[in-house]
Amino acid sequence: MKSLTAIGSLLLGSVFCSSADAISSTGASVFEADVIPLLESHCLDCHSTKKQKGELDLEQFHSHAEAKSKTSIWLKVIEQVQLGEMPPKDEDPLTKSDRDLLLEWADQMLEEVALENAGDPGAVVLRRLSNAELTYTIRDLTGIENLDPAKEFPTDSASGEGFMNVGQSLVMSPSMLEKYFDAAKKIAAHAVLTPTGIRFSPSVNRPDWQQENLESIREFYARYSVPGAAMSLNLQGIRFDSSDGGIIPLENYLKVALEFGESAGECESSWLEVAEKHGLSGKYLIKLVALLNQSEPGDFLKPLCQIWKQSDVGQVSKMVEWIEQRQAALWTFNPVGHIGKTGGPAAWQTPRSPSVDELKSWVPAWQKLVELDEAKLRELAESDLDQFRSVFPGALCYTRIVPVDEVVTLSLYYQEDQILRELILSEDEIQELDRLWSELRFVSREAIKLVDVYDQLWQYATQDADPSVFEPLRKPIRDRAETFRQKLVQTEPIHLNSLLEFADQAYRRPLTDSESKEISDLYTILREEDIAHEDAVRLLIARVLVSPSFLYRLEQAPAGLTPGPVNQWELATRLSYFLWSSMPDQELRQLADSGQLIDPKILQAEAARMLKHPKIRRLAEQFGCVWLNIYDFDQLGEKNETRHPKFAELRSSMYEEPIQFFTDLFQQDRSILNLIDSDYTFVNGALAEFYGISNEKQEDWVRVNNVKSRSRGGVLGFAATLAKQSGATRTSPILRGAWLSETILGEKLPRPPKNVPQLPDDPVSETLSMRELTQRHTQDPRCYNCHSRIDPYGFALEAFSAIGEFRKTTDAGGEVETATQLMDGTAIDGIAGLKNYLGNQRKNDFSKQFCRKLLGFSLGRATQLSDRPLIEEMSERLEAQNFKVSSIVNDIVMSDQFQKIRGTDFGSVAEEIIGETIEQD
Amino acid sequence: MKSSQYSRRTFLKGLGVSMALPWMESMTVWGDASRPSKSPASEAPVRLGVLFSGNGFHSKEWWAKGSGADMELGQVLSPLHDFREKMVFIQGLYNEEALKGNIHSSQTGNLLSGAPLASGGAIKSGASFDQVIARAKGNLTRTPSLALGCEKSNPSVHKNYSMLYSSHISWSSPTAPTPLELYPALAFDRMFRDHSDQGDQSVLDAILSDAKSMRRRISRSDQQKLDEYLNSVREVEQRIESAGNRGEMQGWRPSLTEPNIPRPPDGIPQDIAEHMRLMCDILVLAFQTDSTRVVSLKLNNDHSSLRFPNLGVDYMIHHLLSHADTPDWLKVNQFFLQQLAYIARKLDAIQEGERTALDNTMLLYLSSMLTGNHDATQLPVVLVGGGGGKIKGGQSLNYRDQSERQMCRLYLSLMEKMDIHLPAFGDATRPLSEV
Repeated sequence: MKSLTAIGSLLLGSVFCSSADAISSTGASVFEADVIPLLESHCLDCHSTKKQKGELDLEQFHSHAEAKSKTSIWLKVIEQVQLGEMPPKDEDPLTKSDRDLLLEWADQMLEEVALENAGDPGAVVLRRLSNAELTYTIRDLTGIENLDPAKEFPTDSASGEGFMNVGQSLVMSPSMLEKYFDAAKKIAAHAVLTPTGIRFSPSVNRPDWQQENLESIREFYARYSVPGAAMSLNLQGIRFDSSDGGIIPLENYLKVALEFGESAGECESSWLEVAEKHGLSGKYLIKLVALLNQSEPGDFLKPLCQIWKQSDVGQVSKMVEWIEQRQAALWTFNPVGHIGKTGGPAAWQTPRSPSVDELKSWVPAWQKLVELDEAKLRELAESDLDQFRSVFPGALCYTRIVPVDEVVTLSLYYQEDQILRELILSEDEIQELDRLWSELRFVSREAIKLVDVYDQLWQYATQDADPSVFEPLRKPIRDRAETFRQKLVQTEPIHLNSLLEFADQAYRRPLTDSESKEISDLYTILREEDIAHEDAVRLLIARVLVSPSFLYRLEQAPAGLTPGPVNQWELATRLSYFLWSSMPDQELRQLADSGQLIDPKILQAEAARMLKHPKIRRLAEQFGCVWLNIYDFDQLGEKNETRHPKFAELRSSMYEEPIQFFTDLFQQDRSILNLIDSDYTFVNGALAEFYGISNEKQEDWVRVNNVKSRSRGGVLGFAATLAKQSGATRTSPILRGAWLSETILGEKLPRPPKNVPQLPDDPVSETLSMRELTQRHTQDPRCYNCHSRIDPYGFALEAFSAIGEFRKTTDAGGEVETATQLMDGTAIDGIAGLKNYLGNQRKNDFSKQFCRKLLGFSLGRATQLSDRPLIEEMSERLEAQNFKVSSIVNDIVMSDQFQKIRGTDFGSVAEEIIGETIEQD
Repeated sequence: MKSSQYSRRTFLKGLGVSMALPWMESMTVWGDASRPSKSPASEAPVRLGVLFSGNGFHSKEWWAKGSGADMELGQVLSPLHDFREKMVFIQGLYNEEALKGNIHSSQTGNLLSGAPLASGGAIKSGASFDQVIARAKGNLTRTPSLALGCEKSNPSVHKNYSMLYSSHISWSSPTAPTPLELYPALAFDRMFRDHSDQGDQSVLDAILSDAKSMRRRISRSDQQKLDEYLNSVREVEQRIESAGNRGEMQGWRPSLTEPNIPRPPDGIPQDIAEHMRLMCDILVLAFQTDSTRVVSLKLNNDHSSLRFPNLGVDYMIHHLLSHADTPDWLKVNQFFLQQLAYIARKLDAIQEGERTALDNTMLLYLSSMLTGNHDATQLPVVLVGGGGGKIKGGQSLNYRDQSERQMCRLYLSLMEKMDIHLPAFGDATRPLSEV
């Protein structure tokens, strides 16, 4: 064994630069001169190499260096001695000076080891995405929030510091792989192939996809138009009203034109600015103003121009009325279902020739002309009317898109938006509109469907009419179908490219050439198996989503033993899974792509940006709620419904409070001491009522102040934590106390004895309070040592029922008693006293515990001895930064632990020895 | 730097530093030891069902004495009254490794392997004997094994041990607990899913080659983890490949080829009694259709927080109930044993040649501790079923005063009934001769 230890320190020295040689010499002499004799007289009777009681051999250590090679043993020794568990009660106790000597030496020895190994990235086992991480990643990757791929997966377990993102507990099995594959196929079913690539839809049905495309066109139209007045339509004898037209919001334009007419004048760029400010089209505004400003308007427009010249905003409605009257007479609308048939209409909206009477009523001057010649009058009026029509169309576009005016229509989607394009849209907007339409036609496969529609119509028409009127449409429809089929083939490579981009996002790094090739090769193979293009693309999506590069957070380690930095994509991935439990977003990814992320300033700025982002809610849940042991509290089924009928309805609100609290803590960069004691919390209507917080009953979550008076604020006042650490019916001071001690303060409690005495026969005795019951059975000397440490915390919280409701009487009916004395002698009363104690005497313990937990969460492993120096630094800096949570996040992100990875050979060779020295802290 | 590392490593090897074997290698050894015979079987195969509930039983009512039809049973075991002649009551066995470490969190994860459990953030136990059987026999059935559960695993860490340990009895490898199926409908699907979609095979080939090339670029410790994935892909591929030609070798045909119960509804039943009942039905169906020969059914977790409104016992969770010998605790215990009786009764009604399916099955029921006071120095064990005529029922055995009383001896015995003969398993080297 001796030689092993020697190798151990040799190895350590080479891996982590040793700087502790100097300290070591005093430690060595203390160990040999004082500690060994002490062990001999107090410990070796039981813990000798021969006896090894409790599998502990303290005789094996002959030197300080040997002791250093097995820190895990010494950590346990310290724990047992500090807790007073060892030496056992029936043996001679250690004198105070012996005890101090032993603990001081051991502490210093551990400190040496910690320093020698400081910054060790640690043994981080390859991490599969946890169920939550997979879900968030899929949602971020597809942009579809309703995807829940892991819903029926086996629940993840926790390890390391107690979180669910630790490689060891994230297992894989054949049955799980099948689940992943099935889930991936289900996700792929949401993919929609478009002419430009792949998008994802909340739905898996083509009709829904079409509807989405339709809606985005309608939304586009609605940006520029308002619904028109109802128009009468006649369909097979049934008359109904339809408002299909997108109308120019004339009133808005005229108001703005009048308001800015003087200042903008003839200057086009000013009008563009004004239009943009008011969300109007500059292009149209300029046209409108030019029309109204013309110096010599024709007879027809003259009255309008005259009102305009008055520059009176109050005249707008008069102008609108004037225009609308004439629009109605100068335009007509036709059914669109049979456009293109012989004798049918050419378009939905066509100019209408007004009657002579109408013309006369509009322009008194024309009345005289009529006797001369109607034809001449029309000729005279035409240019005026055209000018009017060119700026005041009846409608900008056909917003219904889906024709309803014939039983069998000849277009599934009818597009008429030429006027919108000419009058309103910029070049970019026109392109966007084209893209939307092309996507709708592509996704709906309209061109192919129309062939069937046409045949149907033909048959329908032969029954009672002359089908030949539809003859002119035959060829165009067949041609379009053929063109579309060709287009489908032409877009295949586009989808394949899009898929490679998808893989690049999913893998959170650029693909290697061979990876790209393999994906393309698989496509070829699938097509050769006679799988259609679209199905092949879906299988490829599934393939990406079950590949190890997606499911696992693979990181390349440097060769050898020395730790090295992870690459920038891995760093971005570490950062985003730490803060968002998901893949990097576009901004973070770009910083990795450009190599800027390694710049400490940029890295810190990213962390700061991400802390503010709404996705930080995930950290609140994955870290905050898991740490507090209330994960999935909204599904907690442990409460007795008869005793606590309110619980089932309240539990999801109870769960939301801590999530809101942590989210706010991160987003607003608050002090972590708020977790111990804050005068605010978050409630909705139901929770406010439950807490007795006066707040008008609101469904929405709000931050409320002055909650201390209601005994709320901070983790001790969360109904969720109080209820979780209780029984089904009654409170449990023991559970609450142990939780506070271990989870919140990070105290190490001795393990409960294996052979605990039975509780009194009647555990639900109605006459004793829980406090009395607890006190009665923890008086057993085997229990007392530990329970006198934890129970008082729980007694102080007895004013909260088993579902966390504030109360004055106990479950047994007596008066609640919350005054108690803590192990260190401090007398406290109730939650206020407890908060006060924690926030003052135990501030340091709490902040270290928080640092340790967040560090463990960020690294996906248990913290270890070599993390001690970092945790010390973190908590010191934290105090200097007024306990702001960003200080911890920054320190973590900038640490070697976070940025580096152990060398490839570390795990297999060195762990045997070094692993021993860096046991969990 | 490089050469010195190398020499250091060689030096270490010379010193006898043991290198951890990847789990597949050790598995192959087991596979070899139990290579199935190529000749068609004329008899129904032996099946293993392991049922577990946590937190032990009523301290005064878990007992059996006498033998055969004269056997007397404590109240906890009273649901098994009709099966006295087909059951073996076993006292006094224990698992040395479960005495170490913490209560609860380190008393279950090694129950079926006898392996030491790692603490401090690591997850390490041993492959459980049911999974060893599954690996050896799994290629004969549609699915190698089912690991069913009626309570979600607990996502936390207690006193340095992951609660994963207290929620998993079946372990595929020392580092991988067999994931539990909690959804009856999905367990049902898994049994009767015998097809694959077009293109599946090619996709699996592709990701397998992905994983292989990834494997070359990552650290050795990561490789071990990635191997879980690699082996899973391989196994799924093999299952698809062999789906078509399965059954050709068998002379024996199961008494049922298609499910005779409807697919359970989606989701997890709210009522625990219904949940357990569905899982029991699935276990029976699995054996009857020979969909698998190994099922573990974890009825609840050790440190369980189940409540039993169905029994009128809803004021306390299972774990806390276990701390006192109340009439309600007894009622809850009996409810669990009723599940075993239910399965036994169903299996006994299925005729397989001259024997019933129960005669061809070994139903092992056990817990992590004898009573709710965390005492694991002897474990409660009851075995129902004939193991293919190889187990003599109507016995009550007590090993309390024997020197070799490892649980793993029992596992060696049970594996032998399924023609798997190992020189050693866990901390035992010889089977129990009485079983």
